[in-house]
Amino acid sequence: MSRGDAGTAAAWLQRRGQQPFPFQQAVWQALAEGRSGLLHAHTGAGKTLAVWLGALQALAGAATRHAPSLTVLWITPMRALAHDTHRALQGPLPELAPHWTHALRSSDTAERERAAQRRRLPTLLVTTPESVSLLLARADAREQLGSVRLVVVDEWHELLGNKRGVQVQLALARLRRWQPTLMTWGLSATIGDVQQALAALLGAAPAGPPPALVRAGGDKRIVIDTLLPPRVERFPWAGHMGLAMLPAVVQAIESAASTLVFTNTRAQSERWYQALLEARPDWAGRIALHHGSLDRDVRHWVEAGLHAGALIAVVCTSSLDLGVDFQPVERVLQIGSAKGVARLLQRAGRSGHGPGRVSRVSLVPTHSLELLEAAAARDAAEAGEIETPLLPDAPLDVLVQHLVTVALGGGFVAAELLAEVRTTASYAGLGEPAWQWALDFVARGGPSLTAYPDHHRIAPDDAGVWRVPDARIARRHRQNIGTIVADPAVTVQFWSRGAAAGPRLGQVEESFIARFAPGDVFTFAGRALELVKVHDLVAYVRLAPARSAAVARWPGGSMALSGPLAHAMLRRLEAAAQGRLEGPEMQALAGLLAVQAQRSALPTPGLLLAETLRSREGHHLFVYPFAGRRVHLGLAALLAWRVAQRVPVTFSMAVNDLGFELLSSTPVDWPTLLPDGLQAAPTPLREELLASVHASDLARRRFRGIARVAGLIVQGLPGERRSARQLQASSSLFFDVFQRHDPGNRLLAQAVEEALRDELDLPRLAATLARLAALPLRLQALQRATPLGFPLIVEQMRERLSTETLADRVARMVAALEAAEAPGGTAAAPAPAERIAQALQLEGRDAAAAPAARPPRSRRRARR
Amino acid sequence: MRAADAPPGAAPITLAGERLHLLPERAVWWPATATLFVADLHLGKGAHFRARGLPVPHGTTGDTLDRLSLLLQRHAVRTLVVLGDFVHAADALAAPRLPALQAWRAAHAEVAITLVAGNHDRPVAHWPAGLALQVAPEPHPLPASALLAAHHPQPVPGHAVLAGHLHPAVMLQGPGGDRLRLPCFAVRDDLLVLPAFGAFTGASARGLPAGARAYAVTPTLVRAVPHDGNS
Repeated sequence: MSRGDAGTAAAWLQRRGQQPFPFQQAVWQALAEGRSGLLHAHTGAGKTLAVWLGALQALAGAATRHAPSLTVLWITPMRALAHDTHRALQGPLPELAPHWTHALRSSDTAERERAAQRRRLPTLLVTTPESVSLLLARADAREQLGSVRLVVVDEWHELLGNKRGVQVQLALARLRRWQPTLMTWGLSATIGDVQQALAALLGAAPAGPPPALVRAGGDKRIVIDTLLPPRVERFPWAGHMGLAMLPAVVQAIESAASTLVFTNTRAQSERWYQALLEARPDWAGRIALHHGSLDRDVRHWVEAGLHAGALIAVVCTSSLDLGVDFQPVERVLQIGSAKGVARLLQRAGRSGHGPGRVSRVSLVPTHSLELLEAAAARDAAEAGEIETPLLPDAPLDVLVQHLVTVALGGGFVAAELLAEVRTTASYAGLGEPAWQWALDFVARGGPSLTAYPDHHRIAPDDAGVWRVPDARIARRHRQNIGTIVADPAVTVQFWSRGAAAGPRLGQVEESFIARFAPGDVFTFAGRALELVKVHDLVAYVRLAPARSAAVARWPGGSMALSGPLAHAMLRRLEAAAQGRLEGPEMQALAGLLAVQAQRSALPTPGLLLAETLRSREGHHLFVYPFAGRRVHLGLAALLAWRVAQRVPVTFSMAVNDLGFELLSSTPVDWPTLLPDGLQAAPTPLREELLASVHASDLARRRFRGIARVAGLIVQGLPGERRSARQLQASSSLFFDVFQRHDPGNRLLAQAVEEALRDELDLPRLAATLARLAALPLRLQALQRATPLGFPLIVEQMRERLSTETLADRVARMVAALEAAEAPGGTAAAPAPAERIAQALQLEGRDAAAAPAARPPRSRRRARR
Repeated sequence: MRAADAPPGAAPITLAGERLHLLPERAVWWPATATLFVADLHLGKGAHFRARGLPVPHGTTGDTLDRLSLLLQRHAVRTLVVLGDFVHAADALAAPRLPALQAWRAAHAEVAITLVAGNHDRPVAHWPAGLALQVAPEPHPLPASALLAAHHPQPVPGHAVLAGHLHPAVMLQGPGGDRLRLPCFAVRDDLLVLPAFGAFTGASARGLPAGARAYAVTPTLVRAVPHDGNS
């Protein structure tokens, strides 16, 4: 540490007219002491520079003739981010470490650059989790990576809860083994449980100086407000506001220099972009669309436009949740529920960069009850009640992949690797049998010697070191490293008659394009496109004049309302029940809440509300646990199953984030059966849940990802086309074959566990049942549907009716409910059916949520 | 069972004037000539995968042959026509696996087996004599009828064609966005495409020819079902 005087980094800042913030100095100090740590803050607080300047100060040392070997590994979750980060990190190098070399490594890296990296890695490498695993799979991994002194994991909150994060944990354990004094720093947005985030980052690290936990930019002001709708329907249903908010959104965009308009789905972003253009044709070229399926060049163009301040608004999805700061952005609009406090704060932080500026996010409700959510989100944000991602628990598919990776990267001795793997938080509780199974699975297919004859992925050499003996298996493994799973993607490209292909627009799932025949029209990348033909995973299109077009659908589960947000909503309702309506959102909701209270009651943290109603459809039960749609799905299935054990009855179900509905054609004695049905489990809950839901269907779906990660699914290999085809089998086929011929395969059990944990949210479901069991139950018999129950009725019908029929029905029902409420004719005119139909489409239920910040997986992944 | 009886769960169809039964066991039974048709067995596929580092449990090929034996016995089959892809790769006939296959063949010595060679069979240069297969190029005429046996689905004017290769499946829409994929028989004009018979073979909705009528296969039943492609 020859230049260890704290002046260097500070001086660098000073030359740019900046003073170091106290949190930056704290990070520098910690790095100088060789400590690891977690730096958490809202977006845009200057986290990157804080760690980087401190790292250079601590590690650069005196200039040498030759560049030092790989010293800093900087891991980012997105390829696009890697690019920007690399550029940002180069800034201080000429002054603070002129002798350091630097490079970027991702699946986009050109072959020439990668060849150079094969010979020698640079001093600083900016890369992705998948590329780190690939480096670990090099035969000379230890020589190349053993010199790393510092690993920085950017956007750690984004990786923490998923398998990519587990992959990072395993890689860090490997690096720590080679370099026991390795420093590890995580950069994270504000999250609930920072201690867990820190523990997952550091694992059971060898004794060293204690880690630092630094919070930056705590004084950053974030304003959360709401664009109030022109009128607040008292009988809302998901999406009913449709484009009624369009004028307010247009006005908001006009009032700021630059605005990000976040939507929850890619389909929704396409529709809002179209609607804005139709409202303001003069904005063509000044507003843009950004989501994960668009072509990289298109996205880069949009990002550059944001940086330069050339765009007044960008309609986007989670694709812009992360990334470097866009200085000109003044305001963020969130269309519909953000579902969680952390996500809302993250998005808010994309606006108002720079010292003293304010981040502002305005919620744009798509139905009345989202006003309640807006008020609650502000409460939760102010109280610091923020979600914590759930750490994956010893996923065997990732372990299986890691075993082959390490066998390739110099080999391993079993007992040593087990000890190393157990230092990670995710595998701290890995049992001996699970470990042995994973080892057996890659060594010979499974624990039984006869189950998988002639099958070996890894084998021990004479010294007992496990290695990959077969070059073909080695090559295939390197091609398939990673944990991101996506549908086969089809590139959308303009058709051109000549030899040269037209420009690329982006990628859609194969299942989407398969629904169309040549001549059909769909909307993508903000344009109406006519399909010309599909050939070799390319959909050729031309511009279509047609205005009515299908909007691309993307699969993916809907996000569920988070626990902190739901709880804050209940507290707001409690205040309302006590006559306190604070803030513009609650004032706007006064009418709706009055109807709810008068016909039934308001659910609160201390009261479980349920309602029964007899209608033309049958006998309804509504229950409002406020636990998010996934938990409600499990609760509804569980209750239906428990009741059906006692009386012969079949139910249809509907769920949303606030509650669920059971509908039966025969009456059910709910006063007796409901309290019993919601008891905390007499038998183990998981067994009951497995019996009550289509667990095997859910597990089969989860197995898709597991099969990919565990190396069962072979992606196409260049130059090996033909033989690769002969080795292709779907995950579903593997699932069937395992079930029949190897039912003890632990990957099957993992699929069930993942389904229970991630699809049905078993931990939260159990906690919810325990909470409900302790609450007084109010079971209200209704004459007419309540504002809380109505959206569930619509949800129920959505399953059965086409959009047009549904729109007619909803229009009639709203009219009837409003008429009953205000016989004097004071009720606002009900919306016409066609507006309802449009709103139903706009809400894009089929589209569900865009997966978080998923970079488009192209066939290019093979080039990584 | 008398030949004219409909087997349980089967769906009868008429092709080129011949009465055929689509069996839930993913085979076609032609009682008039005591002929059984199956397609795409892909024998040895599991072993082929295992040898290349993909963990497929032992037993899929044995499962396929056992199910075929059951059908041969139940229907007192005289002629078995395999509509291509009998084996997955040439190594299915290599030394360690051949004896089991030959033993299976010996147990059904009374059955004449015709193999219409499929794309996966083509690399096999020499079919062991012990298997007693009559290997024929496609399309292969069947005696005293206008039926042809093929691997690749193909129209032949004046004939009806039974084929495989596509591994067709049909996607059924359930309530609540549930989707269920079932292997199926596909019928269009004078073409009948069989689902894959092998235990380790997939099925794909992309394998369902446009405009074809689909007969979904469950473990016990074959039923014509509506689907997107034939509306």
